[in-house]
Amino acid sequence: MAHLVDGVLSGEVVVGGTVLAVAGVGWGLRTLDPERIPQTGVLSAAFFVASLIHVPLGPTSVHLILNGLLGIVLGWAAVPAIFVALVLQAVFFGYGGVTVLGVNTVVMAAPALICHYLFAARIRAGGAFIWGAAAGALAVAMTCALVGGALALSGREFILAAKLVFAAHLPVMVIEAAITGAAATLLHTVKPEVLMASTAPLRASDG
Amino acid sequence: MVDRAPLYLRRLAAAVLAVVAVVSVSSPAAAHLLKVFALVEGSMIKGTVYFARSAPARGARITALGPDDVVLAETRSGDDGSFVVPAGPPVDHRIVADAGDGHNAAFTIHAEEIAGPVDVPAGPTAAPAQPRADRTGQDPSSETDREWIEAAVEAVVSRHVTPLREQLNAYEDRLSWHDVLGGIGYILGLTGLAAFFLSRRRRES
Repeated sequence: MAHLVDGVLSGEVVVGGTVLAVAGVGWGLRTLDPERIPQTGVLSAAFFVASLIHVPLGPTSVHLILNGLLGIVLGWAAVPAIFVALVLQAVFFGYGGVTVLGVNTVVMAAPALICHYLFAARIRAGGAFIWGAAAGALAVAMTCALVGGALALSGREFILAAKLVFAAHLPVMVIEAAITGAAATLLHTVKPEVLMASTAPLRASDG
Repeated sequence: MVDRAPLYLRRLAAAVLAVVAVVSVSSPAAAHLLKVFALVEGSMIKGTVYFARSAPARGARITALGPDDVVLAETRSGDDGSFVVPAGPPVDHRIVADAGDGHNAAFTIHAEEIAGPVDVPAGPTAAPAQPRADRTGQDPSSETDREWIEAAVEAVVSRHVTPLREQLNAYEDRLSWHDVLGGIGYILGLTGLAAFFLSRRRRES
């Protein structure tokens, strides 16, 4: 659901999404610390695989998104990570259209960034599970809202589309909250610098 | 700093392996992809809308479009994702499904598949062995008999071919683990490239 397909959105939305996505990917790559490349790659792979696990649910079927986890760990690097995974999903499996890659990137990466700014510092300060869970759930909720918004801007009935998307993703929010909370707790305990580095001043670690 | 990276990589690699292991023991993964499949049966087009390799799409809006996007028929899919629309004139039918939440899909039925309205007799469907036993001794030359045989053959062939076509279609939908591993490989490759370029940039600066 989070993967919008070709031919659903209006041209303006597609162009707008593409511009935003290009800017986001560019900034994400510019500010990517070489030390964090392995993490970025692995989380990109996790995101790529997470969308393939699929749970039939009511009238539709849903999958995990994991954008909250990517956001709190990677910060801006989540944008290129998500973009790369989406390109591969579109090419290999036909998830989401090729022309709407930009929109899909924005729909999933923008919530990741928002979660990063809202929760990454709080997770470091303590209460990793609670804040991680909040990031996981909120990221999915925001993705639903953005999907609904993109459909609405393209002339669909917003309330109907948003309700459909949102209802289908309630269980996903619960699962993602648990997963992201657990991951945040684990990282906070075992490898706190993973969370630390993501909000370190950009490229300040160089040299 | 120098000895941290390999340890890091080892742990992350272990994490990836864990994810892959969990995924591979779970049910066959399915594409998150709306699909329509439709066949002509007599004067009707029967089909299903479904999310590839998983759930049927209930209540999806189905539109049959002729050339120039003329709407020929409209309906909604049932609880099992199935739908029936009357076949129109013998032109290409584009069956478009819209799940209402941003998923849509299309399937084309070509003009030659639509033979025009044919009433399939009830006989062969109810008792498949009967026509052959009954009819062999009779003169097949009369016009009504010929029509009857044609219709009966069409019904039987369609009954046998439909599961095959559905199976073929399911094959196409199947998520291949080669592709999943290929995708992960691409990501690792890109990661390596990024590491290469960024380290070079850092050396230069």
